[in-house]
Amino acid sequence: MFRASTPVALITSLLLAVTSLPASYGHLQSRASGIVQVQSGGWGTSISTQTGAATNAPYLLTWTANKNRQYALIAIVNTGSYNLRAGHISISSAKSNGDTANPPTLTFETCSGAWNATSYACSGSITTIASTASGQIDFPQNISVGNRLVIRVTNLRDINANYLTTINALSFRTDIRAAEVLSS
Amino acid sequence: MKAQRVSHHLRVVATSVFAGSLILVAGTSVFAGLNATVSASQTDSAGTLILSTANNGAGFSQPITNLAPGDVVNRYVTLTNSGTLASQSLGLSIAATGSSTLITDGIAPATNKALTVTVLSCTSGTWNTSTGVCSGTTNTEISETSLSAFTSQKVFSVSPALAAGATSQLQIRTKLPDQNETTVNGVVPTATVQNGSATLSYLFNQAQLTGATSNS
Repeated sequence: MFRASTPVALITSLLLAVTSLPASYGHLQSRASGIVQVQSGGWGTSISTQTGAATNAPYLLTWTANKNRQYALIAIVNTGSYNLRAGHISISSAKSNGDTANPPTLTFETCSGAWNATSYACSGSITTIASTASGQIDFPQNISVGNRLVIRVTNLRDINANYLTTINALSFRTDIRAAEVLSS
Repeated sequence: MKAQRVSHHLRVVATSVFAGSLILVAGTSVFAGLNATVSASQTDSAGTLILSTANNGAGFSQPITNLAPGDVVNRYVTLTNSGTLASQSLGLSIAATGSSTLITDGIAPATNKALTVTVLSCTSGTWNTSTGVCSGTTNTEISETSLSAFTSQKVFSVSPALAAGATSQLQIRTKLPDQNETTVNGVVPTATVQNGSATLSYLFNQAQLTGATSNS
């Protein structure tokens, strides 16, 4: 039997279904997309021997007691992705027992040519950057990516104990190029 | 007895339907006969809303590499509403994945500043993609906003509506805020922005202009 209440129920159900739709229903939306990969570069230096591979550890120089005028050749290696306008190191020295009193004064020099690994002689002209026993030393010279700045370290003093000098390489934002605006 | 009543009802219904059909056919024939030279037709079609992007210069086709703190990279895309309906609420959201330091600003003691994005439009002119100069009027549609804030859509502030067939010429400005970091022995600090990588998925969205009632 077709009861009189059936159409009322159908209409009520239909109204409920329609009124329960979200307000945005029926409004069209359209989207468009694009993807871009963004990569940042990095700046950094490490200390190594004149020609050795760079490591991520502090570099250690050992000075022998009672020996006048000792040399060492070290290199600041550009391990980052930007050319550098300067290199920096910080040094500190201590005896084997940890005593930091009376550390040796070290002289840091660069060569316009090449350093001789045996005689420590420079094929060009020598520039003295600093003579100090501790602290930060700045080398205002360009070091391109993957290249190195070789430095002669001289200990002029006749020390009475074996000193260990720890050298850390520092690199700052200001060592790389200025910020750029690129349009393409 | 009950079966007879049902049968009777069915006969009544069938007869009514048949009679009604005859009346309709007859009526239509008469109507057609009287109005043979008058006819009218109406075609109703739904509108479309289609948004597309096209690279203007490098656009989204090339990666951004070796970004340094303070660098700004401008890329250009043209949005087109190629549908038949006008739109509103044109906006942009960005989904970013990759190095968290490039996506979200650091919380102390971390000091990293993440990438930011700015959207500009050029009206009554075009962008010079080499110089970044708009020959018409430059409008800031979305001011410089950190990438992490783009997870929700930002609606264009000046030109959020696009007429059917209209275009919006955009400059997408990606910036790595200037910041200092000290690298020691080749080791970058924790929470560094250096040597990072992020994939930015831009999603432009437009909505249909609110439906209107027209009388004609």
